[in-house]
Amino acid sequence: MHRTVRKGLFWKFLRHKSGSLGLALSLVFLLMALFGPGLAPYDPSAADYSHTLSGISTQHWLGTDNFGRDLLSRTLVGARYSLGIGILATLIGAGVGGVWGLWSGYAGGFWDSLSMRLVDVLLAFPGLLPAIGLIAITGPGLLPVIMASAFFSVPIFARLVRGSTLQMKERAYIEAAHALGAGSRRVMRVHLLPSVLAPVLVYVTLRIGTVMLIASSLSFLGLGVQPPTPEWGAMLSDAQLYLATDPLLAIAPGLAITLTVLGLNLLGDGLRDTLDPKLK
Amino acid sequence: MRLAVKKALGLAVGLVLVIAGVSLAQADTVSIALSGDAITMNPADTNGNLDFSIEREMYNGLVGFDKDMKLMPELATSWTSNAQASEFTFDLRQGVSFQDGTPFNAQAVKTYFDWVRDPANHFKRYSLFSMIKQIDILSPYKVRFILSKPFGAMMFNFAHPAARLVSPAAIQKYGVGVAQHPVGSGPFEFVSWKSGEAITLKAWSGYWGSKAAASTLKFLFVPNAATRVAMLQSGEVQFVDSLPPQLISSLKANPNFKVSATPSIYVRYLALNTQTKPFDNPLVRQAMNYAVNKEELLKVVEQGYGLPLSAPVAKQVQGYAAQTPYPYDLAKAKELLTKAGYPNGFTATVTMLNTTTYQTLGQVLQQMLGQVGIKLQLEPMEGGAFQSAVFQPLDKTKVQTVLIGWSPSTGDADWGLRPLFDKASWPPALFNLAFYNNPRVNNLIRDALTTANQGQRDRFYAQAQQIIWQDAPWVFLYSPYNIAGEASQLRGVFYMPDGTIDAQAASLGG
Amino acid sequence: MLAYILRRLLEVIPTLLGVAVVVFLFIHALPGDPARLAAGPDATVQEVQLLRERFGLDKPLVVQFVYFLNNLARGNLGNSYRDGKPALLSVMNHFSLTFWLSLIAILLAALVGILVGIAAAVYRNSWLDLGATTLAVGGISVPSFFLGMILIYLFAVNLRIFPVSGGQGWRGLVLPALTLAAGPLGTIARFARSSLLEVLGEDFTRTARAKGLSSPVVVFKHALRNALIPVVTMTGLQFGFLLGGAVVVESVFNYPGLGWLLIQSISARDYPVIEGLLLVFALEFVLVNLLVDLLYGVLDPRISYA
Repeated sequence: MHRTVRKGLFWKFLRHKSGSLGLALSLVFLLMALFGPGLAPYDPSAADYSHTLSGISTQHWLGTDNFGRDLLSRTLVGARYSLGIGILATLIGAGVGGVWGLWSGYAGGFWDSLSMRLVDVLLAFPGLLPAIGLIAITGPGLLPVIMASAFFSVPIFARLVRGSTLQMKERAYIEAAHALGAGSRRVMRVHLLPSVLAPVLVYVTLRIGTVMLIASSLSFLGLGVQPPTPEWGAMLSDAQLYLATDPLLAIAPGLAITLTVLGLNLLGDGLRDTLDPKLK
Repeated sequence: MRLAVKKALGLAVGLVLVIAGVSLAQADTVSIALSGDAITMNPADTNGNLDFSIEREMYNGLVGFDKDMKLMPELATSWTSNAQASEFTFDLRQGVSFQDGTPFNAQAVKTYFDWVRDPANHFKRYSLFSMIKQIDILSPYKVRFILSKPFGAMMFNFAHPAARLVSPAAIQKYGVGVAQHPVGSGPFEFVSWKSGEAITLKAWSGYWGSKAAASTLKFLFVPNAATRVAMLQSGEVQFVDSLPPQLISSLKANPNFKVSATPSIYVRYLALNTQTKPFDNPLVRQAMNYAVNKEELLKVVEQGYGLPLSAPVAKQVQGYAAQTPYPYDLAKAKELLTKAGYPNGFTATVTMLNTTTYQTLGQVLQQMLGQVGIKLQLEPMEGGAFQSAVFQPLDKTKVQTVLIGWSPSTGDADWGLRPLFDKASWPPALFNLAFYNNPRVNNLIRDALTTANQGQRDRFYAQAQQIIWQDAPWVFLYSPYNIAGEASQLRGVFYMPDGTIDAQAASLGG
Repeated sequence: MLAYILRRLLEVIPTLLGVAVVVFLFIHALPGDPARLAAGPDATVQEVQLLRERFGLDKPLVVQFVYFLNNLARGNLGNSYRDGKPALLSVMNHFSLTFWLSLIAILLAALVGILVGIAAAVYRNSWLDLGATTLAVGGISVPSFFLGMILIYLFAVNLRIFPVSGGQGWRGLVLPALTLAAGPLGTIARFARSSLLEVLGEDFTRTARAKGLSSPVVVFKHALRNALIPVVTMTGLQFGFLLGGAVVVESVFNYPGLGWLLIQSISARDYPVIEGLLLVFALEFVLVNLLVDLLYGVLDPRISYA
């Protein structure tokens, strides 16, 4: 891609109001995930049983939870866990699913239809279900949550990438490359990959948010990241009992998840509109 | 235009009023939010406190427990047994009938117990009554049970909630379908059951005892604690089962609500696998008991609503014998650990459930035992995984310590000790998770079953408890309170020490 | 058309068979013994064995699998280990609860979502657009139990307008339906907006405008019908997802739908009910997809099912 084209795309994106808002929000929380642990005034897991549910004070800007842990620190450090789970799981899912879809689309024929039938079977279980099922087998924890979320992102990316691959395969330049004697692996790498990448980029952005919501739901069901890890969903779930007396305990992590996912969704939409208005 | 707005406003206000009006419940309906779902209404196939709570309002046993877990007559007016505890004779109450009109008599008693102990029915409570060899009808109101072997705790099995009698006509008519068609002789009769939602009962005018005050009793199933409490606050229910202790103070601050907290027969403990290192050394186990500050732990986990254990069974259990508590003494703990050869402590895993209470409890223990160098690794699991991890024989088990609780549903020391400390109860047979084996304790527990003399039985159990307390196969933690949140006008609903609810006298008495 | 439907329905069979095998393998990979779980921790080995026989779990796994397939072919999944009722009946009972809740939620979401989408498209790139879009996307972004908690706190605990628990007539449906609608509402609004924008940019709309038709008429008469196609697709898919039972929302509002049943049956290792549920989910998904494709044809006559 030429430099000026890139520059043009960037300016075009900035004119996209909601996309820019999304970019700003996403950046804020990304920075929080990167630097939050350094900024946290306290150890997020350190219990202090003499200062439980302290409310807002100069020592604890957002107060403390029922273990006397500093809420601000937990929220800041929580960014790394919540966003980290979203990003890692999505990248693994996109990587595996992408290779699968690319291969399936490129191979075509019998193998293609067999692998897509498998994708159908995997997609037949909606939403949280595969995650609940997998974690019921492995037991809860950080790694199972990431693996389960990644696992059921795989068929989605496989189908997406296969679709784009099929479209691109038709295009003349591939035939041209074939004519020039390039091996099929080279065709995949040089020609297919970039044209497939734009929709994947859009979908990755949107998917990170979805995975974060799924991880928080798993925490709510007691199947997610285990305490005392300050994942936002787990914090929010623990705060349920204190909604009437200490609403901040729920509002801080609840708002953090909502705004992060909102940012990612707006960013994804913006990217889609900018990169390829025809994409849906 | 303005008129239209006014009209619309009026309509909206009216709608809100109608909606609000509907939410005022009928004054003589008492609604109770239980912490889980009901599974069966057949006492013979019941093993959960929630089901037992609902069954209590519909059924009677031959005998039952009073508020202090002492035996009291229900459908039997008196009873005797022989010295070897192998024959039990009951005189039955006369003039009692079941809710379907079937008369209650010796034949009804025989029909029910024959039904429960028939292995072909595959009932969950089969083994409570499998030692019954035969049942003799001595007269229409006198019945005798003959056991195949002496069983000194048998009266407590008869008082067990699974020994509540179902109408023989219903057994005939529905068979195992009694689970959905309960017919008993209690103050309330069954109306409807919406799966996963609620069971509704109504007062039965033919009850032999004092009649119910409430006309309708509704049990709602609400597993989520925050939702349960919200339903109390919104006026949908008047009694909330298992109130999280964290919410006690905020409910108490509101004059519309009250909180009841009463001692239970439940015990929580950390079982140590006594057959493996380092827990094979009693010094290590005692050291761990010294290293835990039970008062502090109770404060954090239960907001102080519980009692530190003073014996392997809780105070209300028949046969309880108080022991000298292990005081909180870090120096002593370290000294014992050094003596045992672990001056710097060791690392151990804790197998536990992933519920909020156990998670909190685990984190506190981790911190407390960390002070003497014992590093605990918590392994919280979902119920099914937990159960398959702990019910493994010694040569297969990976379990080092288990954080768990126990409630002896018969209210007697036998069921508070035998499943937990007898060698014969090692997993997978029963719940001796510490793989504890002391021949003296085994014998005492078994001997106590060979007599019906309660004083004699209590002496056996007192000795057993003393030895167990010294051997410390557990880190003895605490007995939690049964805590309920209630609407301030509610009367007559309370917890029994075994954690079941008694709502026979429920009323909204203002 | 009929041949098309038939062919599609036939295609469902291998998918469902695959699902059935996966489900059976999954269930037996779960740690935990249903008999021990049903009997409770204080049950004797004898009692556990009695239950194992009652559930038919005392037979070898291969035999169980043959039984399972054989029963499946006759539309029978056996009795629930929890309450002893036929598993399929349980699934159907709880399905109807989920169905009504989902239907209300999706209607609400479609109605509001499409309106928001139109507003955002007509006033494209204005602050109204930004506000509407952000709000719509916000609906997708908020964790459902967070939204549910807040609604309960405001409308049930404080104002006492609606009950907390979902099982109390139509009033009990309001809060869970609102919570459940938030996500699909956002998705539908987003789709309505982008789809409408696309159509508004197409030739025939421009022609209509050139002919002097005023803007609202263009939007409603000409553009909307074409723009609705992807929106209908999306709404159908969302409905399909809702029918899977919202585990979290059902738990927050204590609504005993399919999500509730799933959690109960997994924790009790109630194999027959888990099997029934997963098969129903898969069937739902496939049928909703088919339905969406058919609706597509009704709305866009250019599509034919040759």
